Amino acid sequence: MLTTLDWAYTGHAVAAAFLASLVEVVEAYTIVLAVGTVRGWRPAAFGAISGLVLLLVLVAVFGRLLGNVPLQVFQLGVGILLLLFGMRWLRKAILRAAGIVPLHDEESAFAEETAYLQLQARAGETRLDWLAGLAAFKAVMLEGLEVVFIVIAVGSQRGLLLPASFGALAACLLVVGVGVSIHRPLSRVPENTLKFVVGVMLSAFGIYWTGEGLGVSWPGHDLAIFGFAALFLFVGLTGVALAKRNRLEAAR
Amino acid sequence: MNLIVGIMRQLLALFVDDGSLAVAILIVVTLAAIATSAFELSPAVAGGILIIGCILMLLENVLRAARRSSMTLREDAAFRPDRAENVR
Repeated sequence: MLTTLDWAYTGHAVAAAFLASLVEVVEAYTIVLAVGTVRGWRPAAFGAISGLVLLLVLVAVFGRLLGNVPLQVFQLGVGILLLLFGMRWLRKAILRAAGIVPLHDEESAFAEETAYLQLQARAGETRLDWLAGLAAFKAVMLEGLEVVFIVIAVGSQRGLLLPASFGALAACLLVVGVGVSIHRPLSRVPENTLKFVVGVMLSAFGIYWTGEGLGVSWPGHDLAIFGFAALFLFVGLTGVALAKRNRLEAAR
Repeated sequence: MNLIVGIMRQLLALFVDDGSLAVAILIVVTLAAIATSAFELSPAVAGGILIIGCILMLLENVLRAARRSSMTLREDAAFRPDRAENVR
């Protein structure tokens, strides 16, 4: 029987997996769409499916290996990686929100990839389909690796791999569904807000699991994650305000 | 070969964007570990070091990036052709 605490932890893990996957799948979709538009859907589908198959193989292989790692080492390792990953996202989201780093733009990413593929076509490249398929493969593989890492990191500690995977799968289906119906880059997705929220959530998980790996017994146990998330949210918003003020003062 | 090197590079980039933030986080985690193992302080101290250290490192890194960007803005403004002192 799941307690309220279990539901809260599960909800946090599934939401983190869903939101992070949304960001990653939108980025992969943009590249696959560019490949499909310029070179046709055969190389795009071939590259994307090959990437997915390789991801599944990696999950199967590493999933088995992870079962042999001692619990405390696993907690510490995953905690540190979550901290590095989450704080990297949070830092980038803060700098983008403050206007210091330009926002990620799916329209321009699509235009860039399309221009690159068209340039190759004009140069009379003979291996075009192969190269286009490779671009789709790389996009799906690399963005997918991030999804796999997040799902394993937030789901493996409490036996929540399946719910976290469903969160990621729901994000994939949502993006592919919307993408297939509108056939355009998904530029309206608030990528930076999502990145900010996921950065906050993963940093909170990172602090929690690194601490557990070091033998810290957090007050409130799993509920501490929500406290850390609130703290990182406050720190993130403060960071945006301070960085903006710094920028405005310099502009005067 | 280039593909594999590219994939490995991108894999590293999953965790390390600004190298100094990654190094700072690893230093904080190491300090927290030393506090409990070498000095035998309470694990709660390690928890405190972890939370405060990570927050301070993040804010320091963001403010440093903001300052760097401000300096670039000032340099750009100083060399704007429409500024009186640059026209003369």
